[in-house]
Amino acid sequence: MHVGLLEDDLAIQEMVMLVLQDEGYTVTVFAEAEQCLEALGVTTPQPQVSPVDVMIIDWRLNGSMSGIEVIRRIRSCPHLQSLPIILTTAATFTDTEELQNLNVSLLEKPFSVDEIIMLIKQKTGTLPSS
Amino acid sequence: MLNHRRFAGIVYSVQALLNCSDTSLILACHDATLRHPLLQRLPFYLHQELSFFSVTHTEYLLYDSRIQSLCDIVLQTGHIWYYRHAQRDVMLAAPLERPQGLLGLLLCSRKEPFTPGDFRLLQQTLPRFSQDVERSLEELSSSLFLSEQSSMQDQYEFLSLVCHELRRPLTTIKGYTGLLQSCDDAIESARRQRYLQAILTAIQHLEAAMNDLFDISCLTSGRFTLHCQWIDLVSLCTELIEQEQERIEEARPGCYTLRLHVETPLPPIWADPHRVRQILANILDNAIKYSPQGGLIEMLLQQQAIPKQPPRINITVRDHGIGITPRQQRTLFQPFSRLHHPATSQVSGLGLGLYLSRKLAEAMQGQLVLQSVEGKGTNVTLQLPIAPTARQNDLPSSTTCEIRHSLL
Repeated sequence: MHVGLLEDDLAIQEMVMLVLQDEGYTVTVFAEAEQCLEALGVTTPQPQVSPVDVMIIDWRLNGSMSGIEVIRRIRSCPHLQSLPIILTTAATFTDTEELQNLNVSLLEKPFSVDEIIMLIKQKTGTLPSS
Repeated sequence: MLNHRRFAGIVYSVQALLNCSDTSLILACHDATLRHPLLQRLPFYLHQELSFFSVTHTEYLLYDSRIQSLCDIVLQTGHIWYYRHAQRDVMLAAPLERPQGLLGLLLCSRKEPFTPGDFRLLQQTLPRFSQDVERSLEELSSSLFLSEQSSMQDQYEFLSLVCHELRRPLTTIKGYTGLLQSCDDAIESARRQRYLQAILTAIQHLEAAMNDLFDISCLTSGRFTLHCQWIDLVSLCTELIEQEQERIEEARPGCYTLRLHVETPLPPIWADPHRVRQILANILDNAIKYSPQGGLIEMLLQQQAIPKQPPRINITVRDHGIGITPRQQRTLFQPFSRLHHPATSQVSGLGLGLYLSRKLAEAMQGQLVLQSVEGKGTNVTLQLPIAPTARQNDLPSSTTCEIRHSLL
């Protein structure tokens, strides 16, 4: 199982990577939105299948794009419309309607190791959704 | 609640000191180059309401062209002046001056001419009155700031921002603790150490954020105390530069060179060493942040003498990085300015660093000045007065009793 991680907080990035690797996942880390969009084939037309099975994206990024914008662009590509996406955030999110429209699961920080693993399993269908 | 009572108290003290028939306090300075920054910070409506305090004088006094000229001369020269009207009282005006600028003036009138003894007395006590006025204005402006900030929406947004910043390191702590918990005993010790170090670093971030918040709350509520002592800036800066160099070398080896330049031997200064370090460390961190490509970051120490102002030392941190746009510069020193920025332009941290640094500099009677050219780099200068004026800070703020004694 291949997990993509878009997170620019280095400490959290490394932590999540270790947690997922311990669970046996392959992890590709992106520190910037542009880098992530390129790899997923949003900005470059090469791959027509998603290179990752699930994507974890942080809401607040230091660059020119927010996590939500990244997700909007991902969803605009036909080959990524059903890609499972988890949005992590340290903010208290109020506008959850948009998240539903984008078919995104929200994971609030600080999350525990079990919570993130459980959510990935739910999203990828390796655990029955409750 | 406006703190009018303190201004009235100052007026009555001067009245008693010089035995005047009337005294007024005018908080205004028409010349923008001489004006104290605090006067600019007060909103206009308040400025009007605040600008005139008197025992029995009325504001019509200021419509008299001779009084206007007297006030102008006093503000321009920075000295005490008086004039004697043929049928009326003697009018005396004295400037209220602080290192940062003019706060306004005192206007006194009485039947008997003022004596050289009166002048001496006033000259001696004037710095203390000026300091009292400055302090009252400071309290007023911070209480105004708080009341402006206290609208429910801003409070909510500010707390959300604080929560956000505290949750980030908490995520790291929670994650690594989980990893340590789920590890079996066979986990290699190097790995365990790495996890523990990551937890420790996150805790340090939490501590720093909490300290910033606490300092801000102390500064805005007027409960802030400095622990001033004689400090040797050169050794303080040398030590700081060495520590920062070591720290940045660990994170990004070979990327940055930090260098200290000292022009001439410098006298010791009277300041709070912990706070000076805090300000300089913050400026250095910013210099590193705004030089993502690495490079040279210089710290320059020099003494500066400006006519009519107490001698001071300038500490400039210069980077050759990306610079800061004029638009960014405008909001850089505003507290919580990030609240109103879109989420996408976020930099980590509460964004209180420069605001706090400037407040701390002002508490030590200094200033923090930023100059930046986009694409060329940034200069941030901390200006601190050398001892004598700074020591006035330690004098008691209540004056009335002592003044009466010296009169007897």
